[in-house]
Amino acid sequence: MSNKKIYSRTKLGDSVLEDPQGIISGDELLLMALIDGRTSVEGIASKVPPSVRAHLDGIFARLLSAQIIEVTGDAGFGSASENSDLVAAFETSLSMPARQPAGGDAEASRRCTELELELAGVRGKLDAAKARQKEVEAGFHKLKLRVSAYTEVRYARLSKLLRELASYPEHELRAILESELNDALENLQPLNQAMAEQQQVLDKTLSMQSFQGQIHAKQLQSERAADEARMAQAHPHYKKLRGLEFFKGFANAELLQFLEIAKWQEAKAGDTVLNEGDVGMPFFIIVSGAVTVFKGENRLATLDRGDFFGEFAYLSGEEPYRSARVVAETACELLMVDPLDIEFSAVQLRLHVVEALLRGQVRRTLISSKPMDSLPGDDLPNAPDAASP
Amino acid sequence: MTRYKQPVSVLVVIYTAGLEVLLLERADHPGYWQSVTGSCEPGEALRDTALREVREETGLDASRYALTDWHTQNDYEIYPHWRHRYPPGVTRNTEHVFGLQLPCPVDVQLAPREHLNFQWLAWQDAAEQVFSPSNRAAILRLAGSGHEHPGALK
Repeated sequence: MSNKKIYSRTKLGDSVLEDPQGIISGDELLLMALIDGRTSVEGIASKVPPSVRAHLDGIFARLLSAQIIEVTGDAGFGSASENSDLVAAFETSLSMPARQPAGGDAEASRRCTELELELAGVRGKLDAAKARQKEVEAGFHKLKLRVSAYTEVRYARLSKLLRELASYPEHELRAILESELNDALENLQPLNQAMAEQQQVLDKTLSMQSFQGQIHAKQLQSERAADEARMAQAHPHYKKLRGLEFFKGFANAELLQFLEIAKWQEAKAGDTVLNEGDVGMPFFIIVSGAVTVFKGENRLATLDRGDFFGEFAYLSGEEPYRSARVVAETACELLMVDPLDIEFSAVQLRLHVVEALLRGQVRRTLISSKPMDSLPGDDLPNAPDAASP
Repeated sequence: MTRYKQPVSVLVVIYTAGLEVLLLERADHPGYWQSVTGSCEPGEALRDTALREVREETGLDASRYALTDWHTQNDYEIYPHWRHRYPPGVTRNTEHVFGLQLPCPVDVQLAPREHLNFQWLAWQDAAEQVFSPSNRAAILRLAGSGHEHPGALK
């Protein structure tokens, strides 16, 4: 290759020089910068480092094949040989086999035309690819602009909002919050009302239930009372006892309980029910008939329906000896009651029995109109009934 | 008013080898059956109380038979209408249980002012008949013990 050859940059070459984008190497770029359409290869070679100078021919061949430079003059050869040189360079760059020695000029010319055509096609494709790349780059750039513009707008809006918020005076903020609160409260009011109504309904239901419970309890109570009354009525001795003074304070249930404890006893007229000096704690209630109480041969008292006798041992706390004789004056029905049985029964019943005995004693004391220390039995001649036969 | 009773008493279960039990009917509470019972006199040993009460209530000389101290104490509340016979404020009585084994049932001599009747009953019936819970427990223990030494069993 002649060293007098002169190269110029093509249009593509100019743009590559402005923006290499890795298309060509550093050495190639250096040569591109030195090619100015006037300096010969020889001149260029003198300006590059020896390492580059050694590959100078190869580099020019590649630049030529890439259409980045073109031959514009030759200081030593005619322009006729230009083509063959160019073809040679092109073939080298494409790693084509070296020029075939067997081929004539015609063959070479034909081959050259083919290659030029091929080259033109490649060049067209390259141009299209370049154009496409530029389009994509331009699109990317536009997109980048739009993104940054969007970000800026968002940021601007946000900072505007923040500024506005900060610029509200406190009372305005409070007013806003209050109005929102009022809205919320207004929404709450119907809810509260609904709840209050529900509560009312619930209260009514509960009071109804409680009322029903009361009615039920009353029903149970009256049923139980009725049951007791029925059971009492059914008892053979109930009616006889119910009217007696002794049982005034007794509930039906207690009266039934008492009938379980007490022993029914009958005596004919003239029978001795108790003998003075006998041992015994039980006392007697007269259900019907009458008895006479004697101390020795003295008649102390006549007792009849509802009265009781024989309670002295129980109430006095003395030894359980009978202090008087009791004789049936008429046929009698008697209830014999052992204090132990009373003690084994319910406290309430025991209380009623003791109260009944106490009331009876008090009545006798009042009737006798005598001092407490001269109760019947203690003072025989002066006892109230002692005088009557 | 007689002098106060001590709140210490004995319960003497009189029984036979065939586990028949002697019960007495109280004169003051007709229909109430029980074994021999009685309060200690001041200064009296428990065993002597047992001997005395058996003699008073049945006429038997307990020293001629096997009188055993079961070393059992029952602490119970005195029935309210009996409390007036004890010192003021005393509401509880301690009862010591004895057993008296006879060869066979015998007729006993009752104290008329204390008891109305006596009867010998199989231990099951006797346990049913008595009104005092501690008396019932003693009779049941007698049956469950093999009756030779009831006090030795726990």
